[in-house]
Amino acid sequence: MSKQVLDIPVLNEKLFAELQSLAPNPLRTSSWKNFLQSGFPSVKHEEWRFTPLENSLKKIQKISSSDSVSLPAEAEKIIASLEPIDAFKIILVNGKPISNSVNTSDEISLLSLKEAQKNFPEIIFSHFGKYLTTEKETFNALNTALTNDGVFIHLKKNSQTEKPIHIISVQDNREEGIYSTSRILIVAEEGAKAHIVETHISTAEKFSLQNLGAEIIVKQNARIEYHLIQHFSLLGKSEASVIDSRQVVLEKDSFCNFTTVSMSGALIRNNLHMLFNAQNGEGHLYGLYLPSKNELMDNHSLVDHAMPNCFSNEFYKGIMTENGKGVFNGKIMVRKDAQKTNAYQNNRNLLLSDDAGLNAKPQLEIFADDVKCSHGATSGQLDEDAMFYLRARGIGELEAKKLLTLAFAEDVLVQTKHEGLHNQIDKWIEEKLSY
Amino acid sequence: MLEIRNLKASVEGKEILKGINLKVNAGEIHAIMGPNGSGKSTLASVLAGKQDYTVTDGEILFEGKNLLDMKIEERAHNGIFLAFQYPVEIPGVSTVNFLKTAVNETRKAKGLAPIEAKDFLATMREKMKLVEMDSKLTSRALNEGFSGGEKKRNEVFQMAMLEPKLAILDETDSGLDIDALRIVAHGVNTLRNKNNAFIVITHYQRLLDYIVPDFVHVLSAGKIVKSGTKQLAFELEEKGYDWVKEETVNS
Repeated sequence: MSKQVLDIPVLNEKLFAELQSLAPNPLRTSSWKNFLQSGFPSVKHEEWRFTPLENSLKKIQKISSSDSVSLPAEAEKIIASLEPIDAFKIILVNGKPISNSVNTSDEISLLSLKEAQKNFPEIIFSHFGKYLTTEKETFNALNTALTNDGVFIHLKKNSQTEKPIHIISVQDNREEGIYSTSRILIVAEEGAKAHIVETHISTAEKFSLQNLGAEIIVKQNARIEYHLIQHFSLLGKSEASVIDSRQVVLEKDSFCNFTTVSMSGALIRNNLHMLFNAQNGEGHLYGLYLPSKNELMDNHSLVDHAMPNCFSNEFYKGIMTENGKGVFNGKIMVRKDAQKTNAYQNNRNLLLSDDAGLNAKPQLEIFADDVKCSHGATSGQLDEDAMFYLRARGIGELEAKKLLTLAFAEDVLVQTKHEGLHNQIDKWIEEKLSY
Repeated sequence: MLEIRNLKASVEGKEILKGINLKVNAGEIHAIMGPNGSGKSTLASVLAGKQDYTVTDGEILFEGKNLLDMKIEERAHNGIFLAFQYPVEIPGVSTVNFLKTAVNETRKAKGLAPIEAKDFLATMREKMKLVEMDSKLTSRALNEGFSGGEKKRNEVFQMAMLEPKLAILDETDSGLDIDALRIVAHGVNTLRNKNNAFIVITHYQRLLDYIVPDFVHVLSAGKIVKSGTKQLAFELEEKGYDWVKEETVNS
């Protein structure tokens, strides 16, 4: 029904077999099988109705090399200026870290996934691929089948980071049609506390696609602040795209504040799943997306309340300009045992052009009877009275539009709780609205 | 300074202003009074450039320039200021950031460099005193959760910051208690000088005890039906608007 028969010559059995012989893993085989079984979804697939992939997938010409990678000079400068500047940084090019490990404090390990397989085999074995399901999830399956490297972060019991951890992921798209695979595994042990930022950029203007899979495990009493930032056109208009699938798992009394800011990218699909795996978890999902000319940004989230007494709050805002398209699909699942769940969802959208588009679909599936849940979605234009008020004080139309748009974004951005990061995003929004 | 000639304006096809003539010189305060629905606020909105209204006839000259050709912000840059009857609440935009942008956009239009941060703060402090505005208000979002009195004081505070040539006060007295009214009037009287002018739109004579006008005009059904001195306001207060209406019909 939803399977799309698509022949992408470079994504073939041979590639899989090579990787399997290089780094054998039973998960690879089952995942490859699952990928072949599900195939790429067409727009007839319920979860991909508004996000046609065919044109993007057709442009794939080459799989990114697994050899060592280097960073183009122009990207280096930008990277050095990215907030948070003072952070433990790991840089990836096409999914592969440019160094195997990063010096941090003793309590934190920040290294390549490949290196981690040698140093932390037990932790990898007990967590890798345990949360990101590959059945009926094509991109997860393909990711797990072709994973060769990525990032591993281990936060020791009761550890605290004095600086944020910053994962900087670069798509090197100087060549047309590069497909890359990246993988992130984060294990926050009991009582650990950390602020993690992940910034995605690209180096050139050509089409590239990254399939990113991430698993984030937040154990008992651990607290994670996470900022995912996608800004592929930071160095000039870029066709770089990403399909980002991540699973956050919250254990007892744990906390996660996950903010996604999608600034630019030809096609961005975020599948953010948060699972409440034990009691008393608290999870926040904030999002801001700004699709502009020829950009499509699709946020698909699943908040899965499997256990009682948990709290979730989801708040996403979209700012659509030119012919930009936004998609918000937020599903809250409250399972039978998840009594006393509090789950809230809100999606608000600003359409700044007649050609802009938005599809919003909140979904609530509740199987427990003692819960508090709510959801709401709105979309509209800038308030005319507010525009008139600002202009009547001498503020030009464009400047007034910027002020009001930044104000609209503010209640999501205030969640960054990091001044540098907040200011940087404000500046980017202003830049984006200046065209 | 301002000359309105045979101004006709309509909203959604309905004519509200039916031929207004008014001349305001520098140094003057004009009061425009009239019953509800007479077109007072429409006149204020048309002067400021609100797009809901269509000017169907007539012209407005401001210092010899055609005001109707100017964008909303250009009118402000040229020295027009409208104190809103209902100031808009704008969440997420702090009053101080808003004002700084407004001041700098006006300076930019005049070819001036942005104001120095410390000069801006000093001016702000001085002007805030004028309307006895709490400094906490300026760090809050613009008008958000302000009381009616705070909003009106904020309007006069903005006026003091922007130093317009012509200020139009649209029912600034509505919803104000006597203390707030006194503060607002004090602000206006302090700002008044021989180079600027005010148009004070009000329903009641009360405000005119504090802001003393040079001329009073009565607007009724989209036309100025009577003009006079301050004395006219007292007569109106005593006899009501029906008196003017009747008199107009009889003449």
